[in-house]
Amino acid sequence: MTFDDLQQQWQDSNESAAQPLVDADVLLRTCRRTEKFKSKIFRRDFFEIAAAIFVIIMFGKDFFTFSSWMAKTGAFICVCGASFVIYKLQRGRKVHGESRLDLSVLEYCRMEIERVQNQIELLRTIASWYLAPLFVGVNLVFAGLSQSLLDTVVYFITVLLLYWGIYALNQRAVTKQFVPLYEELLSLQKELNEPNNGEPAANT
Amino acid sequence: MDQKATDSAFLELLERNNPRWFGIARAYARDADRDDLLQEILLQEWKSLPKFSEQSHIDTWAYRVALNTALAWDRSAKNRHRRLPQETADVSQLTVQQNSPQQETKILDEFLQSLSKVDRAVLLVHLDGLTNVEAAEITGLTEGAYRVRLHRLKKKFQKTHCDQGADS
Repeated sequence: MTFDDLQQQWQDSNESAAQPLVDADVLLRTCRRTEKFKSKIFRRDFFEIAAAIFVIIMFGKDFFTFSSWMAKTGAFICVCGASFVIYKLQRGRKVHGESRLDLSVLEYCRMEIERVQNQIELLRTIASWYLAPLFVGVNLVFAGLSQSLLDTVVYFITVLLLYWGIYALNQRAVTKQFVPLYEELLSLQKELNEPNNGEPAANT
Repeated sequence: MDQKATDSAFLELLERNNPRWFGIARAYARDADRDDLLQEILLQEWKSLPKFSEQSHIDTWAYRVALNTALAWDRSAKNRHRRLPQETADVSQLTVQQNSPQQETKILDEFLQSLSKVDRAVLLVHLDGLTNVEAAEITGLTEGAYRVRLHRLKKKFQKTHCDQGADS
């Protein structure tokens, strides 16, 4: 078998192997997966936004009912923080959107690098745009309502540990998931941009 | 494009391109995962079809979608543990003593699996008989860069599989 024989061999073997796959069963399974995919995206968006709206409604209502100025300030910070979270997530989604699979491999690679970079940036800075405002807000609310300094300190430490856990989980995701993906995409892009160094070309 | 038109266009696309999509799945997934990747390709083709803007031939466009889906699938963390072991197969050991179609298929599969993702994509485009212009459009390489890469692959294949050695 020579290199030139490969093309015919490849096309023949795929033609015969692929034919039985054009059946109702594969299509049905594909449609089911499509529905599953759609509902997964819907659920993810729904829970993300619903949680933030819940915080806005609850603390927004509390803002008007709390008598303590400290608690009022805390509720206000929580409302602003949750609104900013919605804005930040929606903006990220709009700017980087869904993957465009119909681009050339090189262009797709470049866009994926941008998307992953954005994800890394979002997760690395999660403390400033997501955790910190809510952390300050809920602690001010509790401190404003609590009658006991001990309770306030215990609450502060509990929330601190919880938020530290969330932060650590996100940083772990960056290190374990996104950075390897980013590096892999970079190496793919580098390979695609590799110079030819005047090597001969195939006659096709 | 309404739903009915999308479904009908998808079925036509599937009928024409099924062997190519199967080939892409064959190149980027193990036997056991081939159906999963093929389903993922079908899903992404179906999802992307309404966005087709007729700037290129629909089959070339669909090829890009299939290839990028395979590359993304290969990268996903979920599939990381079961990706193809690149460079593990000693392709030079696969001599072509018997020219049976099964033996040739095995050699071709092993050779593809021994390549990097980019080289695999370049060889796939060639094997599927796409023109240099289409190959450049799909990979994002220039035509010259594509042909240089193909020449390298040809040399590599000849070095490991053909008695006559590499030509230049």
